[in-house]
Amino acid sequence: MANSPCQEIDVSSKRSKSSDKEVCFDRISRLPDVLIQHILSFLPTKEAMTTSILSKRWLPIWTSVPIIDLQDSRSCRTDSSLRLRFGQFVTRVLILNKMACLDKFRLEFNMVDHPSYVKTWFRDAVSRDVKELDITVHGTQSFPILKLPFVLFTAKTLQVLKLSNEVELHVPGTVSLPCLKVLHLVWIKYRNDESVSRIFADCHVLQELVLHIYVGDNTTISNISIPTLKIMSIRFATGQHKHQLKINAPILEYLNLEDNLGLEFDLELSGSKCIELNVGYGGWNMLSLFLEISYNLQLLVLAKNDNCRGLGLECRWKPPKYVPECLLSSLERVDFKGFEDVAYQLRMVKYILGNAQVLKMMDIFTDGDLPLESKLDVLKKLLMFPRGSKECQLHFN
Amino acid sequence: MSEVDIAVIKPEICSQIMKSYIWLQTSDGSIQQVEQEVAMFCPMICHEVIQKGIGSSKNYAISLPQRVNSAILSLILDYCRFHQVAGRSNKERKSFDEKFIRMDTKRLCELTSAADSLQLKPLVDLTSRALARIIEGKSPEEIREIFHLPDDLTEEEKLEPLKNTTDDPRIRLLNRLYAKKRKELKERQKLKNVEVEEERVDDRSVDDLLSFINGDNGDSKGIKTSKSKKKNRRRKDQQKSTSANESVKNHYKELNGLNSVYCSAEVGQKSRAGVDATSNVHDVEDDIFSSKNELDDGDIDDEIDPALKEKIDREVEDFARRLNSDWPERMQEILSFGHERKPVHFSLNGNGSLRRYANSEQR
Repeated sequence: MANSPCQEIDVSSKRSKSSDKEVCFDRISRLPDVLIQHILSFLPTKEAMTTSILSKRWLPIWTSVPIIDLQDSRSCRTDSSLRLRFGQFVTRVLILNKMACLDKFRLEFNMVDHPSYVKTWFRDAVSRDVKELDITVHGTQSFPILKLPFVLFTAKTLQVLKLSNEVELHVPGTVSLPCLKVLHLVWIKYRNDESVSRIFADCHVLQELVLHIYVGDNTTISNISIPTLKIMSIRFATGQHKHQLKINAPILEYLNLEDNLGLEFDLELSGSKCIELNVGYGGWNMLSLFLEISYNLQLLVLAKNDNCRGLGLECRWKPPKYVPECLLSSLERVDFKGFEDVAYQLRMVKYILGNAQVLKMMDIFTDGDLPLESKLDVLKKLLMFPRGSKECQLHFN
Repeated sequence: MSEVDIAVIKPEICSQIMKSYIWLQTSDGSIQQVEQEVAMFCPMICHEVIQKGIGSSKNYAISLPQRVNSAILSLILDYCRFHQVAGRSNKERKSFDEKFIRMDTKRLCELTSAADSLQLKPLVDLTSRALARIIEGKSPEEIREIFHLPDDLTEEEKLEPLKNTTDDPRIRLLNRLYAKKRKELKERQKLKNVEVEEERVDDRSVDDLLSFINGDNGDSKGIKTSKSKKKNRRRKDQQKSTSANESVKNHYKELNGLNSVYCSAEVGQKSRAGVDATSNVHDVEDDIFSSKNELDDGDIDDEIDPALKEKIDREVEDFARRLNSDWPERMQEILSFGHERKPVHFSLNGNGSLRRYANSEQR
C-alpha cells in the first residue's frame, strides 16, 4: 500500500527537521482502505466520488463504500432534461459501485420522466441486500407520484425503510420484511386503508414507527397493531377529515402524538412509559384519555402547536372520571411546554399536581414573550396549588 | 474512629489502594499503568486481559499495536476516562466529543488509525466523521494541500478512474466481437499473401471515412446534437463521449486508429494519444468535475432505456458485420495513418481486446 511518491517525500524531509517531516507527510493515505471507506461513508456520494481524482491511492476507493447517498438539485424541479441526467447519473453510480452488499441507499429526487429507471434502482439495491433505504420523492407535473415496486416488500435484509412525500404505497399480496426494525412513512399516499396494516402484519420485529398522515392520502383509519413496537411518533396534518386512530402496541415505551384533525381514538397503550402529546386542532381532551389508558406512564410531555392558537376549541378540558392509575403509582415527571396563563391550563396543572402521588418534578416552560411580572404571577399561582406528592418540585422557566 | 470514618476522611488514598491498574506498553517502548476501568474501555485491551491474562504487572505489560504511541495513547485514555463513566448525559458526551476532536489533521489521522487498532469503534466514528467534515465541500486541490496528497495521477487517469470498464455489458459484447475478429484476421493472414493486402490500399479521403462512421453509427440525431454541445462546453481538455452510441463508436475508433483523425476533424483539437479508453465511465467524470456545481452540463443523449438499448445492440452487431467485411483494409488504414502522427503499436490486452499504445509522453 506504500505510495512511492509519499515515501520519497518522507526520505527527503528526514534530512530536514523532524517538524518539517511531520508537515509534509501524507498521513491519511496510509490509513487502511477500510478506514478511508469509513470516512467516505459519512459523505454524500457525489463528494466521495470527487476523491477519486485526488491521487492514485484514492482512485478506486469510493467504489467500495457501501453507502449510496444521492440528492438532485432544486433546478431539477422544473427542468426535465436535468431530471433525466440525474436519473442516468444514479444508474451509473450503481453500476460503478462494486459492493455486493449495500448498507444504505438514500435518494432524494424529483421524479424522473422514466419511472422504469427508478424501479431498476430499487431492484438493484434489494439484490445487494441493502439494509437501509431512505427515499424522498418530489412529484412533477408529468409524474406526480412514484408507485413503489413490489420488490421492496420482499427485501429480506431491509432493516430501515424511510419513505417520504410523493410515494404511493401499494402493498402486494405477499409481504416479507423479516428484518425491518424501523419504518418511517412521512406524508405518503396509500392505496387504501389496508395498505399500512398489511405491512405491519408482516413485520415481526418492527420497533420504531414514524407516521405522518395528511388529509387526502386515501386513508380514514390508521390501524396500528404491532406487538413489538417500542417507539412511535405520529403526526396528523391539519384538515377537515374524520380519521380514526387505532393503536395496539402493548410494549410501546415512547409515544409522540400530534393531532390536528380531531381524531377518534381506540388505544391499547398499557406499556407506555413516556408520552409526548402535541396538541393542535384536536384539543386537550386527549390528555385525559391518555392518562387513563397508560397505566405505567412515567414521563409526560405536553405541548401546544401553532395550529391551536385562536381556535378556542382546545380550551375545553374535562378531567378524567376517576383518578388515573398512572397518577397514583407511576408518573414521576411532567414537562409542560408553551404554558399560558389561561383558565383551562391552570386547571390541568392543578389536577395533575393535586393527584399525582409519586410525582418528582413538574417543569413548566412559558413562551419567552411574557413580561416578568406576569411570569411571577403565574409562578405564585402555581406554587399555591396543593401537591399530592411530597417530593414534588416545581420548576418554572 | 471506625473504618467507615477513615474511608470518608481519606477517600483518595482508599480508592488508590482499591483501584487496580493495567500495564500498557506503547510502540515507542514506554510502559505506563492505567486505571483498569479506563483501559478496559478499549475492546482490544479488554480482550488481552481476559483472554491472555496479561497486563497486571510491569513485566507482563500489554503490547499495544504499533500505531499507538505515547502521545496518542494519552489522548485515547482521556477519551476513555470520560466516556466510561456511566452517568453522563448524551448532551455532556456530545459536548466533550466536540471539544476533544479539535486537533490538527495529522493528529486526527493518527488517532483514527490508533483507535481502529484498539477496536474502539465510537472513537473511530468520531474521528472519521471529523475527517469527512474536513473533506466535504473542498476542491481536490484544497484537499491535497490539507492532507499533503501527491498529485500523481496523469490527466487521462483523472478522466478514467476505473480500469475495469468491462463491467458494462455492451463493452463485454464489444470485447467478444474484437476477439472474434482478431481470430478471423489471423486466419486470413495465414491464407493470404501480404503483398496482396498492400495493394488494396484504401484511398478514401478522411471525410469519406468520417461520413462512413457517422452514417453507420445510426441515431445521428443523438451524436450530432451532442457534438455541437461539446463545443460549447466549458470543461477543460479532453474529448468526451456522451452517449451509449458514442462509447460504442469510441471503442471502434480505438481499434481503427481513426481516433485521432476523427477527433481533430470534429472537435478541432489534437487528440491525446492513449486518452481513449472511453466508456460510460467518462460520463461519470463529467459528473465528478461538476459535482461541486450540482449537476454536470454534459450528458444529454445517454439513453439506457431498454428499448433504446436493444436498438444500440442491433447497431453494434450491424457495425460489427461491416467491420468484418473490410477488416484487412481497415488494418492497413490504421497502420498507414498511425505512421504520420505518432508511432503507434498495437498489443493485446489481457482480455484479448486490442489496445493502442502511444508515447508515454501524454501531456
